[in-house]
Amino acid sequence: MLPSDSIERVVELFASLPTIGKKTARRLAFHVLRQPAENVEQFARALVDMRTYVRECTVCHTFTDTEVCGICASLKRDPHVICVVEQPSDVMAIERTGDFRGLYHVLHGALSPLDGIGPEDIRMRELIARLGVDMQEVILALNPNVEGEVTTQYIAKMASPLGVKLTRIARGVPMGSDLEFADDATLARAFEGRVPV
Amino acid sequence: MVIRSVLLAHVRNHEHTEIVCARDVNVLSGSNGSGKTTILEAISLCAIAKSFVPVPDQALIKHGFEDCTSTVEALRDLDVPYRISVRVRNGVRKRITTAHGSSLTPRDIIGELPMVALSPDHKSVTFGGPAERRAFLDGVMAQSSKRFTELLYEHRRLLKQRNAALQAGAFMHGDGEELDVWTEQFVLVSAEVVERRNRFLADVMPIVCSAYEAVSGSAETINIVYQPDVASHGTLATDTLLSSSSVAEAYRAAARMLRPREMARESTLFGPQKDEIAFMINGGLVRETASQGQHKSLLVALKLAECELLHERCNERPVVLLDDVFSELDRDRCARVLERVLAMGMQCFVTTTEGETVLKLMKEISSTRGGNIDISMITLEGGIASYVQQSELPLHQSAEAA
Ligand SMILES: [Zn+2]
Repeated sequence: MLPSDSIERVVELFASLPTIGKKTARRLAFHVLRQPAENVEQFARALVDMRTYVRECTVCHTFTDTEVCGICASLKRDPHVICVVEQPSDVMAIERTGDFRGLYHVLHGALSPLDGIGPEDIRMRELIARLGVDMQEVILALNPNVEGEVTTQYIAKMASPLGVKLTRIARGVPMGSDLEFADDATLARAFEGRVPV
Repeated sequence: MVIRSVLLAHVRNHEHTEIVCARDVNVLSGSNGSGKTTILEAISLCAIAKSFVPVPDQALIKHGFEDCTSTVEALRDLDVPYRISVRVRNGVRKRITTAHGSSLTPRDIIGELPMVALSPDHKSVTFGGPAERRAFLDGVMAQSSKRFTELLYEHRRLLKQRNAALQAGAFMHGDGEELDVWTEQFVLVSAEVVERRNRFLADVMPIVCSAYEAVSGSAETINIVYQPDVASHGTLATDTLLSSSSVAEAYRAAARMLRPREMARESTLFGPQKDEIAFMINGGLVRETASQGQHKSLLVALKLAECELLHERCNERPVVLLDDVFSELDRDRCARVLERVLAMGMQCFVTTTEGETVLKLMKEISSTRGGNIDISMITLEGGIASYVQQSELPLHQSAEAA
């Protein structure tokens, strides 16, 4: 089809990304081809650097370039309140609301036996370890689907002997969608309406 | 809801077909394999995101093509336009587009274009096993309540997850806390399904009874008895109402009792996926004692009740699809069905191998209603539709037809 194997390969790679179809992939490939060579090199370098240097924050397990992420290291944040989310992208979504001043904990997934994911396969043990230490409130902000709900209940169960105050964000977020795709206003409302688990 | 047009692209043997619809009755006439039923399937795809008969979505795609699309232009009862397009592709999620967005899920659209279909395949509702009756009930309830559609999805997902948890049981760490949490969520959602099914059946009973009387012309007593699985474990307090809290309590006790067996069988052994809905005529179980005629009358009565209920719950008249019912039902029952549907002001689509016979019947019904029925006859052959000239129709056309 295409007269160049190099282009075909890049198209295939773009198309392997989420939400990118063949048509968009082709447009992106030709767009890249029209850029100056040094821009493309910078772009490629940025991708490689990201993969090389980004790691999990040792405190909250979100993605960061440093050992402890900027949020965990900040003196302006309240370390006695943490918000539990499934993915690093959820941290970014909540940060966009500008309303939350505590810290985060990223689980990197939710319980899902169908996918072979149990408590040992996500950052559950690390979360429980954080709960014991002088915590005022733990806000559970997992995705509003059955896996997120069950994970919320599981955390509640594990945390109950620790006597920590658990809340969850209200169901302002539509069922069946991912938290990171909710619009800012919806998320902000959901935060206001959080209730005890 | 009134459908103005249906557009089929690569659906079964239709390469590209556009049907412009009449307000009241659309007769789709053609031999077997002519593609007449496919038009009903295309409407169904836009109403409930799948065919009204149990076939895999891929079967709808015309041979040699990668995808197929059905588009419906309709007008709500309040004269607001509604447009929906559903595209089926091999191995990819369906693409559902309305004014609300272009990547909608079936959950988002079910109930927007309420639909009642009657086809020879639906005989299994009265003849078949409990699964067929549950599917029928769930289908009606899903169209009439978004929350119930969500509950069904949640229930199905939780059942799969809980079964997977039971299968992984031997390898799971801890002392079963994870399974406990899956169980509790499954119990809560299941209990809500049971409470809603129970309430819905109580509401629908009188409507089915009066519809049965109208269809059969007899005074036989119809009864629908809900036999939820939750009552079969000996854990449901007798004489309690089936409220979600009492049902949840009974499920929890059943779950504790069944745990060892569930672990051994690696499968969930309780829940509304095991419910039965028993139809009775004159105190006898329909499945065992009813005559052919009673089976037919009951099925038709159930569908007419569905029409009435969806109209009430969705605040929108459903569109009625009658697939080849004239070969199954006798002339009298057919006439009564069409009369009722027209009396309720619902648009219907009728497929038949004998277009002329159906037209004659329509003519009789029309004359009793002052001739004021908008009707269109479309003949099909090999996936190609052609209209019978309006002037050739032996019926008065209402002004609205143009
Ligand atoms: Zn951090």
